[in-house]
Parts: sequence; structure tokens; C-alpha cells
Amino acid sequence: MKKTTKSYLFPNVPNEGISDNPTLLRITIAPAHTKVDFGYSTFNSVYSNGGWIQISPETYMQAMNGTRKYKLLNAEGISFSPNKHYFESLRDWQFYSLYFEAIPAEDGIYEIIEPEFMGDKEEIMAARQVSGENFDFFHIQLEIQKAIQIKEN
Amino acid sequence: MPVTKNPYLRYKAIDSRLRNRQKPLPTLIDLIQACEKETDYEPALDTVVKDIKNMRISFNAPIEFNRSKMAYEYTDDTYRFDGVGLMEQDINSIKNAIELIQSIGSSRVSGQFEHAMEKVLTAYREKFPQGNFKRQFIQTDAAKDFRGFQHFDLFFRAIKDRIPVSIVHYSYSKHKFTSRIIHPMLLKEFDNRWYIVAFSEEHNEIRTFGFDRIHDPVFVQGDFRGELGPDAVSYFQNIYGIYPIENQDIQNILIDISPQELAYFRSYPIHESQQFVMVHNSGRARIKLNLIPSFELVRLLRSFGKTIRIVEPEWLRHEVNENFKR
Repeated sequence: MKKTTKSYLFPNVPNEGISDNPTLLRITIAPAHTKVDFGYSTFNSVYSNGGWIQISPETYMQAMNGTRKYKLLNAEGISFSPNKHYFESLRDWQFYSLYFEAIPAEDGIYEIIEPEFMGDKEEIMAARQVSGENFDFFHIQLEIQKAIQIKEN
Repeated sequence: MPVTKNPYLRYKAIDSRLRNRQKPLPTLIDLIQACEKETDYEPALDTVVKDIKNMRISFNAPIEFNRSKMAYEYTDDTYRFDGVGLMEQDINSIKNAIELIQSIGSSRVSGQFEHAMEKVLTAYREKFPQGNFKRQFIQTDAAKDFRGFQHFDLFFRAIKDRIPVSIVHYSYSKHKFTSRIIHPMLLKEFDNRWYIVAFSEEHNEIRTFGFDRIHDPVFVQGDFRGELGPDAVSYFQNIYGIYPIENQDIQNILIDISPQELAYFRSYPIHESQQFVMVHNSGRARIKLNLIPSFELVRLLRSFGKTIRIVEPEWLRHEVNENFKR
């Protein structure tokens, strides 16, 4: 496995999410972490005020054919459950990033899994059944040839 | 910035103390006392140590620590901390410009510029304490702290150094996020809002993105494709505002204006193409514009209500008169 000293950005990553909300926008493979950017829009939320979002601290990345789980290290723009980031309306949106342990800078197919939710599980499941929203992402295809090297400031 | 937190006042105090030939080789305690005298505030020991380090790095100050005497000194007597040779007329015009910038607010331009201006203003206040800093005599309507303005410095550098940028963009109309690679060409302010005009790889054409809709811009490697050609320059000369109305090329627009608006249109032409084609004795007038119609133009024309009437084109008359539904 290659340990990278440079940072690579995948601007548009083919993947199979259960819905397109949230949308997986970009992935950055850096020496110390892997950053995954998401966008969430309240446009079709089941809640009249747009509802809320959160992420389980147990969320992980894993190669589809591998066993190692790359742990979630940090999150920006979204609260760790049981806390929630609340929206104000059906015209709201949120950009957020999840930082996982560094994955190798080479071709691979990954999945991002949010395991059993912490707290408010029934509420989350009910909301997701109605809206069809789900966080898990599968078949995230990273092709190093399609990556762009990040220019350090 | 409160005077107690302004490092430049301390730098000046340290510089002045190091130059004092009556009391050479000041200790760290002497320098702290000199700063306290200048600012009426006793800085922490660590702060002054950092100040000395910053003076060495940022201002090339030849400050050395004399270990035998446990004191500081300049090793080069010719070094001038604020030495820039200017004529009196240069100083006067700079004074005027500084007071103007102080009035409009340097933060309107960028964080980096504000930081640089703080250095200049501190030196100026010290040199010309009679300057008009307390008296505000210009007020602008620049909005403060709006979303995305923090990207100004990054895009400025991207244009200057020709660096492509990866952005995440949120479309207000489509309620959708997208990831884009853009090649920034021009920073544009309109109606107190900032925009970046850039070649978008995904669209394969020049697009305009509002700062408020951009998230997490990142410099990336790659060939730069953001050269602003003559077509792009003339495009921006031919449009009022930012977002053109789809499928509408540059065209003539005739507008009848009522007498009460005549003075306004004379004083503040909407666009450089504006011409008066008729002015009646009563004050009624007709103007002609030649431009690319935009959403901002429609919004402006609507704001005049019944005091203006679009003569042609018909589609624009319909657009302006239609109720504002969105």
C-alpha cells in the first residue's frame, strides 16, 4: 500500500448512494487523513422546517474487498450524534466534511457506512423510510489517474 | 483593533528603545516597560519575545541578544524600522488616501489588505496624531460579514498566480450541490455582492459564481485556462449586473421615463450605453440602452414601478410588468 506525501483530490466520484441527498461531492486523500465532502439540501425533507442532520462517530470507510475499517476522526459542518444540526426551512442547505483515517493513494472501491444510529434511532429510521434518505454510500470508485494533485498554499 | 492588541505600536516602542543611545543595551524587562509606556498596557513577557522574533522575520530587523550583558541591541546602526524616503507631496497624498480607506473600511477589500492597512494606519497615527480618525465623514452601504467573503484572498491569488481551484457550489435555484474545477479570471462586485468570473471545466465555458454559494475552495495543480480574452472583457462591458437572461443577445431597449425620474436618469445612467433619444418640455423622456438583458436589470426596472414604461422589446415589457412570483 502506498503512503502518500502529497494530497490528491477526486472532484467527482462515481458512487452508489441510496439517495442523492446527501450528495458525495469530493474526496481528498491527504497524508494524514481522507476528507470526504458532502452537501445536504432540505429541499425535499419530510420536516416542514427542514429537519436536522447528524453523523454517528462510529461511521467508517472500508474497501469493498477489504476488512480494514478507516475510522472517522473528525467532522466539520455536521454534529456527532446524539447532537443535531437543525435547519430553519425547506430552503436550507449544509456543506459538511468527514475526516477519516488516511486511505492509500491508489485505485480502490470503497464504501462509507454509518452503523446503528446512536439515540433517536426510531425517529431516524422513520424519517428515512418516508424520505428515502440514507447516509450509506457504496461503490465509491477512486481512480488515481482521475485525481488532481492539491497545490499547497 | 484595540491599541493593547496592536503589535505595531509595540514594535515601534521596541525599535525606539533599542535606538536610545543614552540607555543602550536594554534588557527584556526594559523593552516590556517601553511597550507599557507606549500603550498604557503591560504586555506579557512571551508577547515581547514573539514581537522581537516577528521584527527579525517580517521587518529584517537586525536585533541580536547580547549574552554577556543579557540585553538586546541592533547590530546595524543604519537599519531603519520605518525608513521610506518620501517627498512632502507624496506624504500628503498618502495621508488623504489613508483617511479615505479608513473611512470606507479596509475590510471591504480583504482580510489580508486589512492586516496590511493596520500597519500603515498605526504608523500614520503615530506620525500624524491630528489625522481625522475619530471623525467619520464617509458612510458607505457595504454589507459586512456576508457569506463567502472570506474567499476573496484565495481567489485574488488564484487570478494573480494563475491557479485552478476546486470548489463546491450550491445552486439556489436548483437546490443542488456540485463539485467544480474553475479557472478564476475576474473578481466582480455588483450591488455589494462579490462574484468570481471563471472558466468552468464542467461547463466548458465562462461562468459567474456568487461568493455566497461557494464552499471550501482549494488550489489544485494543472494547466490554467482562465485567460480573460477580449470577448470576455466586452461581454462584461455589455451587461448590467451578473446573470444574463437566457437566449437574449445584446439589444436595444427603449424606456419612457416620467418627469420625476428624469433627473435621476441624467445623474445616474444605468449603463454606459444609455442615451436620451427624446426629452419633452414637460420632463417626460425616452432613453435607449444597448446591452445584454439580465435578471438584475429586470429587478432594477421593476423597482421604478409606474414611473417608467418599457417601450421595447415587448418580451422585456412583459417580464418587468409581470408580478414578482419567485
